[in-house]
Amino acid sequence: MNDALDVEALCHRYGPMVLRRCRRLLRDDDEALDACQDVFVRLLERRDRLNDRYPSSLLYRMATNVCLNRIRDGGRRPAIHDEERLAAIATAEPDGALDARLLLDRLFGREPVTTRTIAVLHYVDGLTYEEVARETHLSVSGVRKRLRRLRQRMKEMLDDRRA
Amino acid sequence: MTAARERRVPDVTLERFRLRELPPEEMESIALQLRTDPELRDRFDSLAASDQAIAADDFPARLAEQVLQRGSASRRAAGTTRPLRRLVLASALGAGLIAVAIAQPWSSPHAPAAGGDVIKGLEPSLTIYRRTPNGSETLADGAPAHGGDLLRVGYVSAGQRYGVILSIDGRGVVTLHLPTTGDAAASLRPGELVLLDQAYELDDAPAWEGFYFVTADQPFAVETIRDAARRAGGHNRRSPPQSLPLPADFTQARFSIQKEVRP
Repeated sequence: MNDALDVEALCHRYGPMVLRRCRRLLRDDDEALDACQDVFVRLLERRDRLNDRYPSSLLYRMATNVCLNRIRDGGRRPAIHDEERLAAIATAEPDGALDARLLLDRLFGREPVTTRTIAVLHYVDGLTYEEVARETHLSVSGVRKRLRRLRQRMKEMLDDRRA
Repeated sequence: MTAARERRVPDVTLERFRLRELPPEEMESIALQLRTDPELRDRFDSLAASDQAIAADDFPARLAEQVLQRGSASRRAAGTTRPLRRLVLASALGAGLIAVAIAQPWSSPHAPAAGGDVIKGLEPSLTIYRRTPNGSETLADGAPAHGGDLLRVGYVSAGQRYGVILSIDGRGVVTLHLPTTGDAAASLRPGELVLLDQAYELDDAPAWEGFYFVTADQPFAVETIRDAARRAGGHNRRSPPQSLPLPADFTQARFSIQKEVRP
């Protein structure tokens, strides 16, 4: 593989999308630029995995993961515009209200990267279960199950706090 | 489909539409919606304007340059991780690699991106660490290594339930790394990255060492995989086999190392 040729072509084609994604999640231009580099460096290191039919899907997911890791490592919460959407998660559930702060704590503290990514794609980006499944190469039932478990764990945390 | 068309088109979908990387029926659906939905049209136009602004700043070319610089730097000297506390030579496997018991795990907060990027369900993968004077480093696939190097293997199961990890060296010798006992494939642990309990010392076998992570959703026999590895490695090859001759039911990940003579 010709690294220079491929990387340059990939950066031209997908760089703007990846940068926008990083800006949206990090809300900091400098950090978004660093994160964007991280995404392509990782892609370069694992270029043998670039066998998706649609590389944009892989790169978008990688950008999400890189940003979530930066948010987690920085010990801060995500700078997403629509945090109200996270709050809406609570009221959207038939089992009753959940606390959006708890979701953020769970997402950026203790949940595995898969669940974090799925939760952000669904609750923040507004993807349906089917779309999340497609983006993450999981089954729809797998996505549904992970989000159900996440909500259940959050509910238990909330109950514990109230108790 | 009507329900999907009534709701807001997600950013990722619109981005992929612009890149023409959606399935044909979805491309068609978004194209139709663009004609009738002014809000969606505005978002689409904003993306085009954003692309232009980013391109005008020559961002993609600078990005590529920086990525290539960082990529080559990391290949020269991968990131240092926590120190390796203590090593105890446990046993020799007779040929191929030498197993070394480890008192403390090798780990790194930023290592193995193998786990960070590949989320469950996407692709099982291998990560190899090498001991350094100050700790350990992550090897890139195809990285050079020398006889005497201490390596540690990690995997990301990516949702697969059973697995076998083995390596083949330049002499065609097969070494089993996982499971360490028994005839059946190991039950894989979920998570971002699972490190094997043992490290391995590279011997002086020539040319290359290929590591293979074979996984499946159902239990399977180690011997099936070992036999495939023996057959694949037994042809005086100049490079490790790309994959093992196994049925498509198995998922395979490979990691190779180029053996160099220590100067």
